Order: sequence, then structure tokens, then C-alpha cells
Amino acid sequence: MDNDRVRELLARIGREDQAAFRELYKAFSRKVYAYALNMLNDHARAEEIVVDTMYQVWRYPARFRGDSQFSTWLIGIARNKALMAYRARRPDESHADLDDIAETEAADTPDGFATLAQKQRREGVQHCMGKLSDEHRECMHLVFFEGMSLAEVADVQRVPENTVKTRLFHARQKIKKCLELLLQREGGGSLSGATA
Amino acid sequence: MSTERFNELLPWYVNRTLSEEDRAWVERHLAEHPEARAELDWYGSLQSKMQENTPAVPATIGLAKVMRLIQGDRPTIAERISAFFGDFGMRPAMALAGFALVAIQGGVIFNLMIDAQDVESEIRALKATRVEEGPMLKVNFAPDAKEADIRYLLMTVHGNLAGGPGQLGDYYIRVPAGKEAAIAEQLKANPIVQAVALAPGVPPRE
Repeated sequence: MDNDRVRELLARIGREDQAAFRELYKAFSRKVYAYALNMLNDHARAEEIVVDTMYQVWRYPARFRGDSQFSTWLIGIARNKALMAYRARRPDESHADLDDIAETEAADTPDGFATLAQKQRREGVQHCMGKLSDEHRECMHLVFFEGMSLAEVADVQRVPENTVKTRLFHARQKIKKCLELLLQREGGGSLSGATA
Repeated sequence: MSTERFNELLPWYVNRTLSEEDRAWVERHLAEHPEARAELDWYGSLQSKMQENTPAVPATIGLAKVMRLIQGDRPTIAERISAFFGDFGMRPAMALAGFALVAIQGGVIFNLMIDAQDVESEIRALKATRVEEGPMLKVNFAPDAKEADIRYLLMTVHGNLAGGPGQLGDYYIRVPAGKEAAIAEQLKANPIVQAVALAPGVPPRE
């Protein structure tokens, strides 16, 4: 949905048009849900984030000024809600094993890349994403799932663009290393189950 | 230096947010360094795997909850009237309010006279049946709701009209005990229903 249509719907929402709200909701709910799930790894909380975020849109539609993509603005709201939910969660839910893969240098040989590209499974990527720090995982999600530009990611994460580049670089290294470890652990490069 | 720049630009090349100039630079680099394509493939594979991870949830996930919140914060007619007059500030507020009240009453009377001749919208013709047991829901229907639609809706939720409509269009519906929450949800989901709330009972006749 392009920004013009979004603005049209928001104007109607400002007049309490529930049909417009439903249309906007259905267009963006899954995006917000995917983001929240990526951040919190909890389906029920992800749904709560969707509800809270979209309710805020209903209450304050005029706050979207159109100087960014609507989805970027929406993810910004969801991010604040997710951060609050994150802070409220139990300590034992945190990703305590992040350093498992943090400092190990990933193999950068072309063959290594090709093998990983061939064999990294969906579950493997999901598993390794779960091993990243929150900032790194969020950064990867915004770039490769949401398809945001460097400026947009920096805007959402409220950090300089160089920080985004650094986060992305380290996330890449960690994911690559994690996938390599998975390949080794599951049989010398032969992961069980279907390969990509 | 060029490899560093390539690595820096590659994620944005893969997610197609690079400028034309940077995009052209990456493509030139790939043409000159075919071995760099493996890195591109890796990022491409990563991106497609991440997008395959899209949670399989309906687009309506959480929608019912939001709609409940929205219904809950909808201002009552009295609040809307109050807000309307609030816009006029304190300038002869009382006189204006009095004038508006007379105008509204006139309008209501006029509408009632018109409605009396309109067979299709004889919502008032709904007869309240006496139901002794069960919780009560206060329901507001859309102004253009037809009697037949209201009757059908009440039948589907096993509800009985116990009172109303009042001056504000409130209908009081007696529903089976223990099912009031589910029935309220079912009613809210119907387009002819504007608001539903639990009511302690039918108010005294206005």
C-alpha cells in the first residue's frame, strides 16, 4: 500500500471511519507482528504489540506526517512498545548465550559462502537469528525482512548510520559462524532434513 | 578499499534500497570480481530464508481486540453534543445550548413524524417481550438499520428485546446467562450494531 492511500485512510480514520481502519490494519498487521515476534519471540506478546500499535494509529492518525514510509513509522511505534515489553519480561528469557558465537571469525572464503548459501536452511537461519543480540537481530530484520534503507534503519534504531553498518557487519559474521557450526555439528556440512 | 565498500553496500544492494549510482558501482565490482558473487548469493539466500520465516498469521490478528478498544472509547451521543458545544467556548454558551437543545428536540420530533410513515424503518414497532432471567446488554443500532435485520440478529444470538429504544437509541436485550460476553462480541461484529455494553437493567421509562 503506497503512502498516498495510507494518508487517505488515515484522514478517514481521523473521522472515526472504522472501515478505513480495518483496511489499514489488514495491510500492516502482519508486518508489525513479524517485527514484534522477531524482537520478543513470543506470539502472544507479539499480538499485543500489534494491538497496541494499531490502537495508537486509531487514536492519533494525524501523527503520521508522511516524511517517511508509513511502515517505517509504524515499526517505530511497535519498537517502543516492544522495548517496554522486553524490559518487563523475566530475566531468564534473555538471550544469555549470545557470546557463544560472538567473537569467532567466520570463514570468508568463496567456497564457504557458496556452501552456506546452498545449505542454510530456514530453521538454521531462524536459530542463528535467535542467537544474535537484540540490536543485531533487529537490524537484520529491518534490512532483510522489512527491506528498509540504511537511513530508515538508522531512524528506527535511533543510531547513526555508521552504527547500523557496524551492527550489520557483526551480525553477518555471527550468523555466518553460527551456520557453519550448525553444519559441522549436524554432520560435516550435511544438515539433516531438506536443504535449501 | 573497493572490497570494503562492496561489503558495506552489498546488504543494501540485496534489499534494493541503494541509489542508482551505488547500485551501478556494485554491479561493476561484481563484473570485475566474479568471486565476490558468492557473498552476494549468501546475502540473497539469507534474505529469502528470512522472508520465508514470515509468521503464518491472518491479517486480522488482534483486530477483534482493537475493535473492542475502539468501541470502548467511542464517545456517547451526550459526549459528542457536549464536545460540539464546547467548540463554541464560553460565548453566550448557555443561550446557544438552549437554542441548540430546542433545535435538536424539534429535529427528533420531525424525524419521529417521518418515521411514522416509513414502514421499512419502523424500529419502534419492535415489541418488547418480557424475559425474566439473564443478563442485559445495552445495544445501539445504526440509524439505517432495518427492523428485519435487528430481529434476525436478535434471533441469532438468542436475545430478547426487554426495553428501548430510549431517546438515545438504546435497546436493552436480555441474553442467556454466561454467554453475554460472547454475544456482545458477536453483536459488535455486525455492521448494523454501533455499540454494545453490559447493562444492569432496563432504566426507568424516560
